[in-house]
Amino acid sequence: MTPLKQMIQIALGSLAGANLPDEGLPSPSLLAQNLSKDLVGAIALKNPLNQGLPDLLATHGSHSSHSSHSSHYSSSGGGSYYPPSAPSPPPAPRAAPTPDYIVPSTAPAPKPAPKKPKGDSLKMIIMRVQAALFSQGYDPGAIDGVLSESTKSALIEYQTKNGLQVTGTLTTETLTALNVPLQ
Amino acid sequence: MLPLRTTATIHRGLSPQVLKVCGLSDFATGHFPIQRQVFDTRSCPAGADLSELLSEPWAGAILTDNTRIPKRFQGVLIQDFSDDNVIQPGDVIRIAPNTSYVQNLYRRSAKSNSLFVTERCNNFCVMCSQPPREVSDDWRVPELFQTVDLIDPSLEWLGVTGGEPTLLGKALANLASHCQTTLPNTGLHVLTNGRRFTDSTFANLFIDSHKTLTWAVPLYGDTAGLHDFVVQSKGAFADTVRGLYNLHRVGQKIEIRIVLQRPTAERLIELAEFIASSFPFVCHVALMGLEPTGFALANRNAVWIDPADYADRLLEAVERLHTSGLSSSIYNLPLCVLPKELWHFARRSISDWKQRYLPECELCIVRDQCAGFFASHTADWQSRNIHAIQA
Repeated sequence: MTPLKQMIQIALGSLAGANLPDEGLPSPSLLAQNLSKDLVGAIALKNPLNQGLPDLLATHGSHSSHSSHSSHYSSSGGGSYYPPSAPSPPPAPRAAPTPDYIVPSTAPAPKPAPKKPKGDSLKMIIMRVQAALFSQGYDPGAIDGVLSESTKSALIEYQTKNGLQVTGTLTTETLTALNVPLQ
Repeated sequence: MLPLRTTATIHRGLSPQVLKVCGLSDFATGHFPIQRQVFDTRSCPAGADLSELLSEPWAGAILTDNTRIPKRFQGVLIQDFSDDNVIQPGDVIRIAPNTSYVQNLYRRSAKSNSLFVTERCNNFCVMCSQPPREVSDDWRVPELFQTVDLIDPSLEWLGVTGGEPTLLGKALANLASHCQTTLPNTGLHVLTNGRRFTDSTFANLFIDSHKTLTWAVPLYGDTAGLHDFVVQSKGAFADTVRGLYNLHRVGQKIEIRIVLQRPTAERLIELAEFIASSFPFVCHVALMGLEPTGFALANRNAVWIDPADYADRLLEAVERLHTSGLSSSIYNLPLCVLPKELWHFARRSISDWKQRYLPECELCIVRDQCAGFFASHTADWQSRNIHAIQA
């Protein structure tokens, strides 16, 4: 017998042997269900603790102690809450599990966004440089992807102000400084 | 306090689209594909010649009064926002046919951003600030993936909220994996009631789905009666408790959230002890001031309690948690209602788009460190202890 089955049997055994009041407890099968669910994650000890020793606590087997004490409290929304003053009556049966949210199985995986083409055209790179220059307060004339005189002089101004090699061209260090990707 | 949507005049918006707003410097940096972006001409110097730029295959453009669009431009045209500040470069927007709404799905300038994944929920909390609706909103799922594709990769934290995100089922695990791939430097913070995690198969889906994912799970009492009352659902406590253990079993990081409304506040110390003894593995406990919106408005008699009346219990609860080695924070409460010993646990937590201060705060010297108030705040929900802190 697997350790799991052993544990279930021991727990059920202690339930069966215990002096439990008849009225109001959930059925042993429901307790067994909950028990086996809880035991899924449990660690099976090689030598179960206290094996063969008499029970100290009559209700040792129950794992349902956290169930709802529903009869005290209004479930119609907005009712007042009163703290429990006496031991509560039986726990209500566990709610049915929420049905799976069904994503339509034929739903296509969302189309991945089209990837940026590897290696922007030179025109695109120049446009990005012009945009960067504009956004930093320089005037490259237009965002047209053409290395015009205005663009060259804006580059020279930028390179001078930022301690870069002053060439009026698209050097790697200029592109890096402007945050324009090279490829 | 900046809303998440505005209206605009939209031409040629032929299908629902999720798009990135691209300003001048975003275009320079070129991170996102042109085809998923609208170029924001508001970010250009007046009179700049954009005709070549606008010949590229943009999804659309945001126009000013002076923009000249090349005749061959094929994208959607957006102009005349009722509030220009709501949509800015770097933001991700949704537009749809037959509506003039432009929804902001991600705001670059915001202190925090969240993905809103569904309006449905399997709880029905008496103070719910986002009342659920039983609607079929699976149309959101592909949009969520597209939104993630367009979020700045430098974002530190992304929230996931609803409704109840686990109602997406496996799609939530897929979304988390997609975030791991697309935004590897962004942590995920998912709000959930944890109930679906009683299902071990479901919990297992999240093993290895995301490296920095924290689940934020509300717990409103140390007894099923109290918790189930607050969330208005029988069996919720049992599910949430099992869910917490299952999440821990699969190695997930967990934060417990407590909204400080009356029934919970009355047993706050017992709740703190319950958390410390039963869930010592949680990485954080968030104690949150009540937001006076949604269902809270209808249930004021059941939920309102003046923070002045639970301040002592809050201090004791935080101390018990601290003694047990659990870290905690206080959200959504102004500093003036908290004992000074709790000030360093308090955070400026209210999202900027729904946050404000009161006239009383004018001369307060700790205003900049204070969470302030919800936009929905009214006199009915005001503590008697509100006052400016002076020296």
